[in-house]
Amino acid sequence: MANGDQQKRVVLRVPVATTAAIYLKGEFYKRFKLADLSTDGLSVLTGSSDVLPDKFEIRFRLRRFSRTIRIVLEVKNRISVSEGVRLGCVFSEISDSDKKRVNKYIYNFVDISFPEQAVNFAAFLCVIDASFRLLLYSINSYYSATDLGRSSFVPALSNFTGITLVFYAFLACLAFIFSSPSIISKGRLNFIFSLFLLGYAFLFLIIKNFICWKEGLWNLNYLYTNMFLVSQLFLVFYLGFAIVIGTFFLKKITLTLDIIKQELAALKLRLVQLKFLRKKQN
Amino acid sequence: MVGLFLSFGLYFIHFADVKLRVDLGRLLDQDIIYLKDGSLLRGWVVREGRDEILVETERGNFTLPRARCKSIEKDVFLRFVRKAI
Repeated sequence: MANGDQQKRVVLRVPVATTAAIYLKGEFYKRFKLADLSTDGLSVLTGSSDVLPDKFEIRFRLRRFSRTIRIVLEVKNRISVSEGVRLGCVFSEISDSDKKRVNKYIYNFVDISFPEQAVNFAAFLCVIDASFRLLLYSINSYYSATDLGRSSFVPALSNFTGITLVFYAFLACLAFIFSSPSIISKGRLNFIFSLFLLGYAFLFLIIKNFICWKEGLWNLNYLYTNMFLVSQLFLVFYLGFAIVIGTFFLKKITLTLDIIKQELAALKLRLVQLKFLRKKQN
Repeated sequence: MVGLFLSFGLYFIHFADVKLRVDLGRLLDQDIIYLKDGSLLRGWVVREGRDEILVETERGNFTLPRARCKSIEKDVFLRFVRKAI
């Protein structure tokens, strides 16, 4: 058996919340908790008094109703932890279908593109909406300030509306920047920040929709005004959906980013070690 | 994106053809006259008298007896824009 310090898996390890049945020479031995899983190995948490051989069979399900995965493992290291002993193992014998299942599980676990894209796209739509509103505001201001508005019966827009619009546009732009995948990968706080910004945009649009409904703007029945109102309503629903999805996946995003961060740190450490060893050899 | 829309706004104010500005102004200014027979007229109320209303439409100007009018909604699009944004 190799020493744990010398042999380290530098592949993405994801946590697994399941127990696995250990089989010794084809006979059921005991059930133990799985600690994590990667594409070429896993780690099992055993009791301090349990002694397992260097090679054994393990059977487990990744989901409640999924097929049982059968793998023959080879123990690479044994580390004492507070819960007992953590066995770091590599796959020795695994069928292609089980390998595919493990890979798919890991891929799905670390795949956070769905909430990322949902929030980013919502922010993008908000940017377009804000831009369109600002354009209308500037046209309206021009109209109010010139002779064209001489027969106007409606009071001009207040500065407060303008400030709110500029603020909305600014926050929408910030949300779009902070929800981009490259920024999110730097930390979960960026994602939470973009969710907060979208929360403001959501509130703003809810109020606008309410005003439109209360003022009876839907009764106008013009194609363009209805298009604007429908798109505004759609934006509220989509924004709500994106915020819910983002909040729902927050834990997963946090976990995935932490895993990636840890693995990156491990990789950097390994690189430093390798460089040091090469220097030593020279 | 915001910059693009703002640029268009600035272009509209400083460089756009006067006709475009006037047309847009007229569109914002458009009034709707609801008639008692259930139909409606889209145009611009030029002058309102006690018995008659002078209306300008795409097809020309004409005088409408006030007795035929149910109500007049003025500056429809301007009202819409100001409330919606």
